[in-house]
Amino acid sequence: MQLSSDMQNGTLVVTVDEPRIDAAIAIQFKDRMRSATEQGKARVVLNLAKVDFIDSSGLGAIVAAMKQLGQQRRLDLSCLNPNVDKVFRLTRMDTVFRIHDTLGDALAD
Amino acid sequence: MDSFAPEFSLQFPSSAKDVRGALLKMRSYLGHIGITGDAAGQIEIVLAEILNNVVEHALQEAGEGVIQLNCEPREDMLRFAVCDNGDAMPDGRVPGPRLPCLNTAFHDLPEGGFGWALVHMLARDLHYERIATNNILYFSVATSHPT
Repeated sequence: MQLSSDMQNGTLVVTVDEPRIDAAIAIQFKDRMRSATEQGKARVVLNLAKVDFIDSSGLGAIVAAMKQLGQQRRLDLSCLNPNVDKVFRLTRMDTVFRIHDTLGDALAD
Repeated sequence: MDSFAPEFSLQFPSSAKDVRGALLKMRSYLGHIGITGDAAGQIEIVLAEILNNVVEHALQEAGEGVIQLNCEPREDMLRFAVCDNGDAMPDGRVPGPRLPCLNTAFHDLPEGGFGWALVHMLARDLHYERIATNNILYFSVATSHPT
């Protein structure tokens, strides 16, 4: 389970370098998100451009990552592929997260 | 019992990693029979939720669980049967279609409970049978009309 992170214009961009966030790696994902975000207070954008599949365990792990950050520190999402976007819409999780079409949009927000 | 003539069949151990392997094989089979894009994505989500449920609840990663997945293409849909040798469904039936409530305090936002809701939204004709020590779940997913 690979995540990479870098600061861009005061926002911490965490990129998921995996094609799937599924039940096989959901717990690892939550742990890696904790390590990637434990320093600092910057807003976090999770870049999902490389992810082409998410299941409900993966979705739950993203919710858990958001809760780990606390209410004062936002977790936004960007670059959802159609299959991933569909899972967020069907579960109405698109009403919980701010979802940006591009990383540029996410950074400009 | 459904009449069933599977064209594609997989048997694999009950683990999240083996479920992933089975889904990747199914994806390549779908590509082979010309099902891609939205339709393939819907099928993969439904199968992932049903198979992960077997791993997490029926067999609880016990190490001796075996899952059998059969698939039969029909007009405008694929008919599936998933068989496992784990615990029966609670109350002997498929869990309902309700999504977990999102109108909660921040720290109570749900981290699970979406799986069966997704299955009910994307699959149809769900039919569950308990036969001796096996569970069999039949369901269909449309291949021509995206939801």
